Amino acid sequence: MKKFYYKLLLVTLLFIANSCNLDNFDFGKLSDDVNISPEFVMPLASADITIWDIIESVNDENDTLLKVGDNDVIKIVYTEEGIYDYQVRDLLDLPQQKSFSSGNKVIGNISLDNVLVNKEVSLRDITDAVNGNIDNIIPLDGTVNVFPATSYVGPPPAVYAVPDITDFTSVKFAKGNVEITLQNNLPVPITMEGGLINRQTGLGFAAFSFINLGPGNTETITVSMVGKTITNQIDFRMTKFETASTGFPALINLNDKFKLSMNFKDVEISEGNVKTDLQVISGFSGSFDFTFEDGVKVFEAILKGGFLDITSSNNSQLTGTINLTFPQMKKNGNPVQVAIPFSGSPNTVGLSNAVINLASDINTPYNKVPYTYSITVNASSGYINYNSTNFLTLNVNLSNLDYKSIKGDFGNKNITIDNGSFNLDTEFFDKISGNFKLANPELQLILTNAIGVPAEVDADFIAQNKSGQTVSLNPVPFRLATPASLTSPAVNQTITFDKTNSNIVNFIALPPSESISYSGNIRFNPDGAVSSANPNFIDLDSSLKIDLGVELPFELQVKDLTFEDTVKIGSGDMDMIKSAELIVNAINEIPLDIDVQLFFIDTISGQQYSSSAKSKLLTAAQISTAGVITPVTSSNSIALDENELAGLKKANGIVFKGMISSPENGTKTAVIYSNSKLNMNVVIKSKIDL
Amino acid sequence: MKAKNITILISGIILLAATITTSAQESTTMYFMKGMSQSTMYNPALHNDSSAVVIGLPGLSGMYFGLNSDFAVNDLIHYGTGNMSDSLVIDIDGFHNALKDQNTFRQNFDMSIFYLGFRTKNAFVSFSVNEKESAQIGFAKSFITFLKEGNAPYMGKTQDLGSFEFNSYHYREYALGYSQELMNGRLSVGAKFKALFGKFSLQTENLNFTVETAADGSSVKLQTDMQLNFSAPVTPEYNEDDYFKGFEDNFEPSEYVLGSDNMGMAFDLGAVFKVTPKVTVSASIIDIGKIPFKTNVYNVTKNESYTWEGLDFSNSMDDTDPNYISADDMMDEEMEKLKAVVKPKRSEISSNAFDMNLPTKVFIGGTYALNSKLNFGLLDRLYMYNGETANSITVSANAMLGNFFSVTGSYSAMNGTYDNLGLGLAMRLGFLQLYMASDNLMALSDPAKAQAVNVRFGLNILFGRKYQNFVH
Repeated sequence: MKKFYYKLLLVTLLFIANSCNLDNFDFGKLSDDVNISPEFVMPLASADITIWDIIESVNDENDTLLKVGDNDVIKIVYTEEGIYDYQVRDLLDLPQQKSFSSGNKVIGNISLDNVLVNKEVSLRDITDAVNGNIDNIIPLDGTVNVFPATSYVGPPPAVYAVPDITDFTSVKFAKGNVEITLQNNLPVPITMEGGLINRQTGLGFAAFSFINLGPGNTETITVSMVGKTITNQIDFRMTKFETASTGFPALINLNDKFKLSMNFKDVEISEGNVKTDLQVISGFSGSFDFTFEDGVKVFEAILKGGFLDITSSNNSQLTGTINLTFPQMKKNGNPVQVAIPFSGSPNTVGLSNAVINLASDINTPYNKVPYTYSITVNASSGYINYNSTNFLTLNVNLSNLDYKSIKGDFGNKNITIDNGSFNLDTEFFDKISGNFKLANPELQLILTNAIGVPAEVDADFIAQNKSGQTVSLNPVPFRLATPASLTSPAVNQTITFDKTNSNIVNFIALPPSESISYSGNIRFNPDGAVSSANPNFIDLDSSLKIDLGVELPFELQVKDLTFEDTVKIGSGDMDMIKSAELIVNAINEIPLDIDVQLFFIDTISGQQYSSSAKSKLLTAAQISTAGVITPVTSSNSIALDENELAGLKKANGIVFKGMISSPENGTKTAVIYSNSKLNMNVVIKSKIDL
Repeated sequence: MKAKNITILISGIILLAATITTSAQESTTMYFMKGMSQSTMYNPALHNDSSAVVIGLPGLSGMYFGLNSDFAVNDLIHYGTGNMSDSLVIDIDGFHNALKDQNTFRQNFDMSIFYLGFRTKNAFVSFSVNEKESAQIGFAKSFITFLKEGNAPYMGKTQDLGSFEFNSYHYREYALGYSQELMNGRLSVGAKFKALFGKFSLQTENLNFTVETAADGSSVKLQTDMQLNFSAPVTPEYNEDDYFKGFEDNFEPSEYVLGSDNMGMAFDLGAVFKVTPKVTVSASIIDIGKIPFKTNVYNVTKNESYTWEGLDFSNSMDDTDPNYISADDMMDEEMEKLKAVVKPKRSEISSNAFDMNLPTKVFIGGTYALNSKLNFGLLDRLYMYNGETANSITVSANAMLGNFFSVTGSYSAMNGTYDNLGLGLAMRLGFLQLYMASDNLMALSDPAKAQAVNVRFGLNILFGRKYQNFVH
């Protein structure tokens, strides 16, 4: 019986053991498919930011062009410096060297000191010379008697030699007189007539008559010597001598004399053989004429440096010094003066800081530099031949002229602004397409001008997009502001081209994604000639600089303004994602609708595997008719279904295509303020296949 | 031949044990099993064996493995259909549907170190030393709902992920039992005093999570409410921020095995009343008591919430801004916040003693004896632990064949399952008695579908059968 139970127990245990089924624990057969697809929602990010924060965050180094205007409107501000930088020294071709010659400057008459010669004639000399006509007094010599009346009237005349003159041997007087003085030392009045003659030629050059000159009296007669030529040997020819009777007795002495003095006074000679006296001959003057290119008329020039070299030549036998003065060329307020010897070594004068007035001539009030000079004639040691036609020549050389400033009339000068181009250098235009218009773009020319010349600038700008299309700005010409005076600082001037005076709205709307090119010209003195009272003026170190600024306030009227960006994606484990939805909850003060569409592509072949539907990302803030912005609360989402995700899983890149429209489907202008807030949170909602 | 049979038998037992240790449950089949002295574990007044002396040797007298779950493995993993019919699939939907609102997975292991029982005329005295271990994990269905559906369907709502439980303990039990026969043998009452020494305990008093998702998805708030008690030969360590970073291991095997800290007490009470010669009723309550843990105790209290609102890029737009913060730094900050939610700080860890209640079982049953060899039993078992209760009903047929071979067949309705056929076998070989019992033999044919599996087996050394009237 026990065996039976043993067997029963054994069978039972074996049954139990064999019935054990562990198939369900063969985990080698466990499928990877868990078949669970929870859907999780989770915030990814949030931000309470201004649009300026957004711009700052995406701002690469090239996009420092974005600024905030005074009215808080965001704008693109691009500055292209020096599209035109004109140095004044390039404007005028001023001579650095100039040579002038005065030509033959006739010296003219020279003066002589007074020449005095005396001749005393006694009664005996007379009685001896008149052949007995007054011999009646001879016997009375030495007696006291009544002096008898006498009379002699030639011819022949009585001739008495005058002592030789030592100041010249012969001269021709151009100026001056001879004063003939008779001093009667006889005891009776005398009447005497006669003249002075050149001994060699016998030609008289001065006649005189003294009538009844009392004893002890003197009388002078002046005779002009102009045009008369004399030698140093002259005679006194007496043609009449008469005495009246004294009527009372007196000692009669035949040695009693009268004295005849001849004083050549205030004389200038035009020629002769003379001993020159030290004298200064002044009153010489002239001018040097400058010439400048393009008919430029210079009224005044201030030099930074330069030299004045003067030489002279002389064809006379005179020696002396030329004292040259430039009354309108001043240094430190004083005229430039230089003394140079006749035919001597050159003299050099530095012209640093010299102020030259070239407008002193009434008839030609420009480009003329006047000068004056005097001549100091040295006294000669001997006789020299001189002729008033002898001349001097002045040679003036201006060298290394460095002009500081010029006043004048620079005429109607046209300068071409060299063609150039620039790129706004912002990615903004590169990444957008679609209908895009800025309401109030501005292009500004910022001018810094130190040239005191009225000018009109006529420039044009041409925008070109990537497709080669162009739009001209067509700006109106404008006048250049000029400084008030040479000492005034450079004038800063901003010329703004906006929608009222140019085609800038279409110009920017092109948009100028490729380049902006410019060209033009500057016309100086467009109103014609200027006067010395209101001259052109330039500082040679100054310039005209034109910078360009482009201000594009974000006052947008856009419809589906599209921007694209491609990002590469890794081969993450996206197989687990069955669906995905990106939810953007926002309180938006920015008046722009933003739609997004995603394209899943192969970045190498460009093949597009799938794309998301175009979805709204942000709903624009509302703008009232008064322009008041009211924030809008919105919740938008971008959803990817399984088919779209299938494309995403194949792709190695995502093209983010954003489309921006201003309110009311792009019909309203959206003003983008930097402080417009965007309070948003981004939520991912995804069904995950585990 | 006999030796061969024994070899086969032992091999079978080992095989059986090996196969069901991973899926077992506390046995109720053994309650009425004839000839088994282990019946006193369920009712100290119940003696199904009449041996004068019963000795259990360490490692031999009995081991118990039990797994008890509110769901079956098959609910989660099973063969698929169609082209997946030859593959195991993870069926979250099926698993989810099978779950209760609150679910528990419990594992128990008991091992008898020593057992001695002997009879006097009207009494039975026993002394035993047992190692008892249990681990329990509990979670709410809503947690699986969260994993299955995510939080997207609950935007604008708060998802209560329910309570999580992580309870585990290990203690040594010194039990002294005594039962007395009264009313001329019609009534037996018994009691057992148990001295308990806690070795390890993890006790979840509270561990709740909620996930609140904003209606627009802009925030996800995780709320934690945590109260854990812990006792083990370890010392917590903290980082420089005073956050818990791990334990320093102070484990000394000898101290762990022989230590007498954390002493607690428990009682078993039972009674058996013979209503008629054929009808007997019995009742017992097992493990009334607790273990106060006082040594190496740590309490973690943490009530935190963490709200994830995404990375706030408000100050991350301009890296030149003095208040700029990078995305990486923000993420680090968020991780710090999240760590603060999950990781306890030094201030959140205290060292207060705590009590660990024992799972209390109430057995109420009765038998009807068809004859002296066979009776039929009906047993209700109520399991109570930390406010949770589980009830099972077992009917059994218990036979004693030839005074040395005991067999019990049982059917149990437990854990909401109704396909639990149990079997108990005991064979007496001289003074040795081999036994095994399981409440769910059907689990062997398809363990994946089983929610409750247990087995108890061992070897008793029995001497004498002098007092047959103790056999009920």
